[in-house]
Amino acid sequence: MKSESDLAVDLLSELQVQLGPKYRVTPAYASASIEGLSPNSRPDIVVSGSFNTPVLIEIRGIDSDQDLPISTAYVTKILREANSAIEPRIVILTKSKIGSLLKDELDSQGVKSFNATNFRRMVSELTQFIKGGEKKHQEA
Amino acid sequence: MRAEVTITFKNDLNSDTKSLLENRLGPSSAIDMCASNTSLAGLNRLINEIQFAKQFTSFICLYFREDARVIKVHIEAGLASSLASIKRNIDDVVKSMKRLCEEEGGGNCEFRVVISSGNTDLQVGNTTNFLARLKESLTSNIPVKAYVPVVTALATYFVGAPQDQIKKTIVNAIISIIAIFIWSLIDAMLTRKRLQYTEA
Repeated sequence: MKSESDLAVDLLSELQVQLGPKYRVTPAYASASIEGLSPNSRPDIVVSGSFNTPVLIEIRGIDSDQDLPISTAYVTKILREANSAIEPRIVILTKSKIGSLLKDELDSQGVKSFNATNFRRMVSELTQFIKGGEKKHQEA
Repeated sequence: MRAEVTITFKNDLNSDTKSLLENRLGPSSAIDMCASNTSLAGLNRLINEIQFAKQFTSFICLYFREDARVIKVHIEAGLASSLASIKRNIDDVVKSMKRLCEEEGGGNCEFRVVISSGNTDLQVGNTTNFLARLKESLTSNIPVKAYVPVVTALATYFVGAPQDQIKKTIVNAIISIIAIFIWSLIDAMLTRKRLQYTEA
């Protein structure tokens, strides 16, 4: 079974291939956009596009099929507040279930979640989400 | 440091969670004040869902109703808390929820705990069932469990009468193995259902 760090490593390379050179997929510690933040307010992966709307990817609950704790919403809130200067979109990748209480809170924060059970499918959905967001931004 | 205890009851609980908990735990503390002193402060959707709250000197508990059979308790300990102290807080909550479980939830409820600090989940705890306890009892102290049958076999072989020596050696070794297995069964039955923590 893959750990969260294994999944992050695989995702870094696969997502970069799928998104192409127009995007930069970097681990959070190497991302210039969130440099200087404490480890508590860093995501796992940052995807930067040609526009200033980075996608912050947080990987949680990869080796459990139980519910994600409701305090996950606190983590996403901290991520958003700490990175408010770059107006990020926040994404959670998980294999755990997301209960109704947490789902409502994540929806109200505009946090999108993806199921990480099937890696290929997750990468494909994530790619569409990132590219879709950039198109909306261009149209606006 | 914070923890989340998920209690899954066997039966559906009364839909009025607040009065259900007040009957067991006494009156609720002021929910807004308790919530504002936790990491959930500012999470408005979640705060609206808090059914009951308790403020103690060293920690705060916020009770949520996930569905008919599930109650979640968010436990937030102060900055000076340690893993050991938050586990004691969790034990207090688990004890009170076990009483609720026996009287209202049909007995035999399941507990799951996630202990977190900042952005990181530290430990996960689950209640152990009989098979898990039996496995734990069988696999603990392996050297002793191997030593007893070996010494029994050697003692029978060298001390016993020369006739049927090998047969008696094998029988006695098997008897000691069976005795160890029966002890493990008794141990698993006598050990109470408890939370077992593993790294997250």
